Amino acid sequence: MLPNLFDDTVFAEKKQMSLREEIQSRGYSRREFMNFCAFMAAGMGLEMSAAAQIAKALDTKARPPMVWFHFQECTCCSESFIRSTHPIVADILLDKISLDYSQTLQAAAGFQAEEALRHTMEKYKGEYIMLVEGAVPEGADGVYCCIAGKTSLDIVKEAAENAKAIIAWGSCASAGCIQMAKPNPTQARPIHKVLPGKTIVRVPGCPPIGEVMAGVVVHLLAFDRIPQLDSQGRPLAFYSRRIHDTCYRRPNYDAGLFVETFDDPNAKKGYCLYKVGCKGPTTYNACAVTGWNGGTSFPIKSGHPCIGCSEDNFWDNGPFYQHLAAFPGFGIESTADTIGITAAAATAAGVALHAVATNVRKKKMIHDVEDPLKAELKEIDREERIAERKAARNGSGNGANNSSTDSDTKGAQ
Amino acid sequence: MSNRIVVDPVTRIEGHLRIEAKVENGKIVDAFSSSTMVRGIEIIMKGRDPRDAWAFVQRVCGVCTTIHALASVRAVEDAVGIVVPPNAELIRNIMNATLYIHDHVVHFYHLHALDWVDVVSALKADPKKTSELAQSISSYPKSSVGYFSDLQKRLQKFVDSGQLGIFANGYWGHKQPHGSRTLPRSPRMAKRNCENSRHLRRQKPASELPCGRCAVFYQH
Repeated sequence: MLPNLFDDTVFAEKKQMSLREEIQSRGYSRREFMNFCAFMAAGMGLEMSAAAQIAKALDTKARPPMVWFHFQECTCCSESFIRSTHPIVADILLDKISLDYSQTLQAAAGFQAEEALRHTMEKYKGEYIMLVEGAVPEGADGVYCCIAGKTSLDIVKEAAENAKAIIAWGSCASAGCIQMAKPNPTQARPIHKVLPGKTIVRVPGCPPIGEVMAGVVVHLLAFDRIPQLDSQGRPLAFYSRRIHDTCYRRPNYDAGLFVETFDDPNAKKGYCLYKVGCKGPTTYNACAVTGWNGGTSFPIKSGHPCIGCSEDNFWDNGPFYQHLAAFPGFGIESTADTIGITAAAATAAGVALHAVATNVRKKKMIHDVEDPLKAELKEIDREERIAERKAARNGSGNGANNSSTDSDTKGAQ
Repeated sequence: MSNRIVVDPVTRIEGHLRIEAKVENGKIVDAFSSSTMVRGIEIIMKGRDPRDAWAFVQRVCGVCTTIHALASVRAVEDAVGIVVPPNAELIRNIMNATLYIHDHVVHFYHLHALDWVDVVSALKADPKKTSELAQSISSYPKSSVGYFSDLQKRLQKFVDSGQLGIFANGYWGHKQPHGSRTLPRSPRMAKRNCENSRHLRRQKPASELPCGRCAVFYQH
């Protein structure tokens, strides 16, 4: 585990804005900020009292420098990240962490870009967060992926040496993904294989869900440590449940109602996709709970079987449209009957992210704790009412468009 | 006198690119580009179930994903002589059009814009003149002097923090086709647009879109 990730003394020399100040300086109201914290806490499966903890941390912490590497990847992780539903996620986590090096987003190129990286690695030695997107090829001494004349193998080792935390985004960095599929022509490796002994947060998925990525980063910022991980190094909050157990089509599976082919009437009725190749029973991810694109949908909801993209070697685990019985590893029936029942019982039918908050294991804690978040929101309510009354007394204002940006940047809630 | 210039990595593209240029007497006489990353997806594809091809091909690029998948599906269909029904064709067209709209915003504001917008130089701009310019070209409601002044203050805070993040060390201020010259008072406007693009993707009604080109696509 990592002790005290962001020592305040490191940043003491400079008077930096806290994240909350920055959020507010970008035109978000206090209410939106608090809602954002609640949203993040809910997403992480934490009790609501954690929202206040997140708020407090974001209020006082300065921006940590982050470097984001791209190796053998397709940039879908970055794309997923910048599409995080909550507008504050995109604004804050993208611009307001100090993203000092990111080949996809930074203005500088070539020498200037590499200089920015070197500067961060020297100035914030032991303090910067290293985010890796993509696998590292070991074949032919690593020449299959070179940046600025250096192999990705050298780059990843050098940067990892003094990084405070390392996050492996997506299946490429955390499991090798497509380039590692047979016959793995470039000898691609996930980064934990080339960085033995390092603690690495693995966030698999092709790509991972944007909110999940944001949740991991917010956890780092708010609690000064990496989130709780499972035995495979994945954040427990998002990867502890199978798609199958959280799937809204699960009752169809239990009742033996299956889609046999994609053009049969059962497909239209929304029956279980298990027989047309759904890998939900062997896939651990949060898709069925958080959904994609703001909870709009996820593959199964759109009528396509899960391809199991957050599992190791999912490209080689048989054709996507083949019945899972031939799947290597444990059999579906045993897990469906044993593991399945308890987890399914704990799963609410609703898939909205907000529902997660009521779905956490320590349900009763929500009632026990006198919720500081609610108190804060009440106070905001009160202040707003006072301000409204004042405004009404002073007659209708004429500068609706003028300096206020709050009304234009309202969050998605 | 001959010189060689190397730009590696080229940023804000998907993938890895290296450009080498040979310069003689201040002019580029020859140039070479090389892609410095290879995954061998063509080799990996061999012997796979053709129904799975789209998923592999899609991973060529995570930014323009959908079009690779659609092209791959069509290639497989052509190979085995499948004719898809008109409804399927329509759905694919909708998918393609959706990607087109989405990618336009991402590419323009996240990737392309920084090539010709010097964000920090907006500190020198005059909010009043910017407002006049903005109002002369669109009815966008946020074109007030107050709005631009606020934005300038926010930018000042950001710059004062000393951590420029993705804007650090950029190659700004060249006299050639660059924002500071082609759009005299517009860097701040452009930054405004960049900031708004993220909200716009989800929240803006068509009438509020700052970019005329996007608005055309968003209006049904």
